[in-house]
Amino acid sequence: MTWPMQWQFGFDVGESERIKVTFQFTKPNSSGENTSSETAPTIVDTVEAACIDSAVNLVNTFVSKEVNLSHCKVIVFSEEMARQGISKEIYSLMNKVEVRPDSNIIISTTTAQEYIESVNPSLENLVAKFYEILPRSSEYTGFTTDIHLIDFFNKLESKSEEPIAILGTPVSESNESGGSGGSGSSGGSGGSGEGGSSSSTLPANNGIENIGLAVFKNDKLIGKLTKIETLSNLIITNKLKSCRLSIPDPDDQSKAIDFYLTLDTKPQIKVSILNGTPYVNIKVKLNGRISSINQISEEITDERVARIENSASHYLQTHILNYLYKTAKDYKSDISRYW
Amino acid sequence: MTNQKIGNFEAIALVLTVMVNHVVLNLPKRIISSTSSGTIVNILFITIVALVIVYLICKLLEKFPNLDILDIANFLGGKWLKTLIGILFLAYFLFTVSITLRSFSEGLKIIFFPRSSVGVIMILFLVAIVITNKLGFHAIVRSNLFVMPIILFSILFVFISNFGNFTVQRALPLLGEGAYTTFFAGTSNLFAFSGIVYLYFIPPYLKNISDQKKISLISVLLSGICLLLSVATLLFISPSAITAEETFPLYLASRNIEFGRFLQRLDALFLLIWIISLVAYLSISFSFATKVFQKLLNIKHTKWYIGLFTLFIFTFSLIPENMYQIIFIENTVYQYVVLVIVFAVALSLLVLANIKYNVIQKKKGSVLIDKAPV
Repeated sequence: MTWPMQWQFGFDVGESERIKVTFQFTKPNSSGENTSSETAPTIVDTVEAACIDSAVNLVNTFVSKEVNLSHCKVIVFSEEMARQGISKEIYSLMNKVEVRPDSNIIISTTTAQEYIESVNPSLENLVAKFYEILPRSSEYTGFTTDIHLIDFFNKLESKSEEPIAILGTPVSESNESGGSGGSGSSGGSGGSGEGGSSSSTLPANNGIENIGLAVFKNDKLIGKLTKIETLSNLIITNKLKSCRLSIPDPDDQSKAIDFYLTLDTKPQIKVSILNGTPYVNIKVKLNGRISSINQISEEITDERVARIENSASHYLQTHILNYLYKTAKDYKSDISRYW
Repeated sequence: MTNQKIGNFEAIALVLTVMVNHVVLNLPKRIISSTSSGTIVNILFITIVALVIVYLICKLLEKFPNLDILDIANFLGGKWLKTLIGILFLAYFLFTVSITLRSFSEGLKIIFFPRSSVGVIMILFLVAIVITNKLGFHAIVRSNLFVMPIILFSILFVFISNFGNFTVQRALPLLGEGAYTTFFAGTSNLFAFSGIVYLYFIPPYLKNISDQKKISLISVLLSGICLLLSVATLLFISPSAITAEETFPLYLASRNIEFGRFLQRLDALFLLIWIISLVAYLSISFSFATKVFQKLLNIKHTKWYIGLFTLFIFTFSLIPENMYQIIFIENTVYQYVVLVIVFAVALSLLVLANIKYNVIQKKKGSVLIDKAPV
């Protein structure tokens, strides 16, 4: 017997019932029937129910094979639903043995159904491979981080840390609003900070983009982080593998210098209490390789290198401080894990 | 039966099998929920206490070489005490086999066979137990020795493979809910070393009785390391997830293992190893139950009542009505049963037997001294 391969499901606020659950399946045997150049066809079904189990039951009534969640890679929540609180769903999912703890948690800026329907893995034949690779792209983009169900659950239960999730947007939506992560916030206005990688310049083949982070306070979504804020989070939490960053050229503000950044050492974090308030001192050491500049390397003097270093340090320091103030003062959510 | 002597490695594997199988079941969950972040310190503490107790047991057993606890009870209080202690240990072995069998079967049902009857799963295990017991004690012990390195490797592998998912700070504060909970109340976690029970029965089977102390200490030390590794794995990954879920905690940890996109979902392989290991453990405990019964009634042939015991275990396993009752019996009742029978009753019996032995020796000595001048 072949089970329908179920790769992701999403939660929206229901109209007639509490939740609306969207399932995405791959057609059984489709990968075998298609030629290597074709993408395996997927089916998207949506049902409204009181809880996830009822939704699965409902789906089972109109699909010929029993739905099994063990192949699920991605769990999507709509922003609206996340703002209302998702602890009930997270606990239900953790209690289901078939749901894998390494499934990714994504908060969609639109409805989960729209997000799932927008998925179009143009460079992959198998949807499963696409879902595996996409969150891991954070290892070389630094635009988001690989958040699993178990990480989210642990942080939800933790007394010292708040949960975060991947922020996902259908590309059409992000183009309209000028980029999900970068839009409407301080980090986005930096321009050069995300310059060469602006989402609007991406061809909309994938249909979705995962850029930025969704910040939670307990189980409720309270805010979103831009690309540069996400990068700040990755640096402070020692999760940055590598990324490319553009900063304004200190000698000519109209031009940009691109860096390939990696963490040199783990950030040193010291917390002390001053006048009853925690004072956090973070020492960050990064390696930056200049990957593009309007000069050949032989013409770059030591003074110019020092100026670029200072400029890069100042640029990152400003954005890290902005990020810290934003999460601490605006969101009052500790997602940086100062230990 | 005592012709079937076992070697040192076989004896160590015998004692270890109890620990590793309970580690796979709910033992780490029970310990973590009682001592929270202080679990690591607690495990180190109870391992030291267990080593001291085992050293004491070996010292107490030194005066009774090649005798098991039933023979010692016979020496201390005659036939009635032997019968009483025999019934107690018989009940203990049957109880542990029954509850472990039910608990593991329920776990398998949750993971793989949600629509199957738990009775059917248990019958499959019982068939395996009956076959192994028909083959004899020596075959079981040898098989267990073969399985043991694999299961120990699986526990070590789960620990190492999860390094990337560890948050070591989850072990802070080191003393958890305080020194009282970690050390004093936490002493009750000694029940984890229930494998000590075999030390009371293996002396007649040892090839080299002089190695008894070495075997006992090594097996308890390895048990402690095994427990420490598994508890550390679970504590560093997600203590909340472990206490929230009904399935085997180590299985949950194994589900996090992946090596890139190429090697994923190894949990099924681990479960297969643990199933084989559980069959070995249940067979050993079952075998000891039949040996105690045989010794109590002075029966020469064991074959006929194996079926009787199997039926009893099957029936007893089905008594708990739901998962809540099983967890309660496995965690709470089992804990007190072990502490009372394995530690309190058996140790007291050994101490009293030693006192009696010394008194007899003294009397013999005094008689000799009295007679000497004559």
